[in-house]
Amino acid sequence: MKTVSASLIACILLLALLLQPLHALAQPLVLTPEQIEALGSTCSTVQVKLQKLQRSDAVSRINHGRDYDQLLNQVAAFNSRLVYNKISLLQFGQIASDMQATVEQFRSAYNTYDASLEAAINSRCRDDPAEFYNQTVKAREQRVVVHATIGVLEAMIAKYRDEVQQYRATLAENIPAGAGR
Amino acid sequence: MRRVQFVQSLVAGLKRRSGQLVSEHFRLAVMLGLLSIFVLALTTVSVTVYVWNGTYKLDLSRPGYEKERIQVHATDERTTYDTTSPVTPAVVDDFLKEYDKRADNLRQYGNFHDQALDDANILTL
Repeated sequence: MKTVSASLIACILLLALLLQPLHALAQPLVLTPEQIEALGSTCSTVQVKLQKLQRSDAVSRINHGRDYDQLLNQVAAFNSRLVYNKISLLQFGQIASDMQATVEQFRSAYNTYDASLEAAINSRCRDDPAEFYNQTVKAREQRVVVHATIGVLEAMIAKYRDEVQQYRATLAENIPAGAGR
Repeated sequence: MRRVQFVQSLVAGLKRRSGQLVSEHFRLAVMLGLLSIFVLALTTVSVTVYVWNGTYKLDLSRPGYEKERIQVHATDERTTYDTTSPVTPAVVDDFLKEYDKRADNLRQYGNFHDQALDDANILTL
């Protein structure tokens, strides 16, 4: 019951965060003519900055992806060991499955964000500064989704750790620490 | 046994057919040509998949990404885990030690929460 409610909260949280940008998109983006003109003259420099951001984000995405994969492998192996030893702890499997799904969401959210950033970088900003601005706003909103997904994963990682810690406490009552590695 | 016979008859049929279609003089050239087309097709499919699914964007082995390549966190060799031995407090402690290390690493990579795309950085320079 506790696990189901935790999964439900995580799903609601993620849904709310995913819908947030759509709400923001519904609002028209208004730039004054002076701002559009100024953006047209400086946008090439901004695009160079965006390129640098795209590169540093790629590093962050790769590092996250690798460690999420390794973490999921470790968790899957630990769960398998519990199952092999006929220890039934359903919440472990549930959290692991939620983590796997959220890692997929993280990958997907990053791809969407990166595509928007790429569109802003490749747009002909001198000719159409307003469109360039819209693309950067879209990228900004999708970056928020990536950030939110990382937050959800962090919470799941902490939750799994808590569960293992609790199990460790019950285990210690029966078997002394240091026995049989 | 029947399968082997089928393959043998298929190969023999192809040999006979190719002998009828291409004279012995050009057979090597035709074979090399077909092989080149096959390799080219395979390469095209691979590169299309590489670009289409976005893998290339995360491929920092491309030229021009030397600086970023250094920043990628080096990982250990793929670890294999024992999934059949008994579960003891010591095993759980080992698990948590490694788990915490990974969780700490993840916190260090940044969380896409900087102000890089804020209006202050886009509209004013």
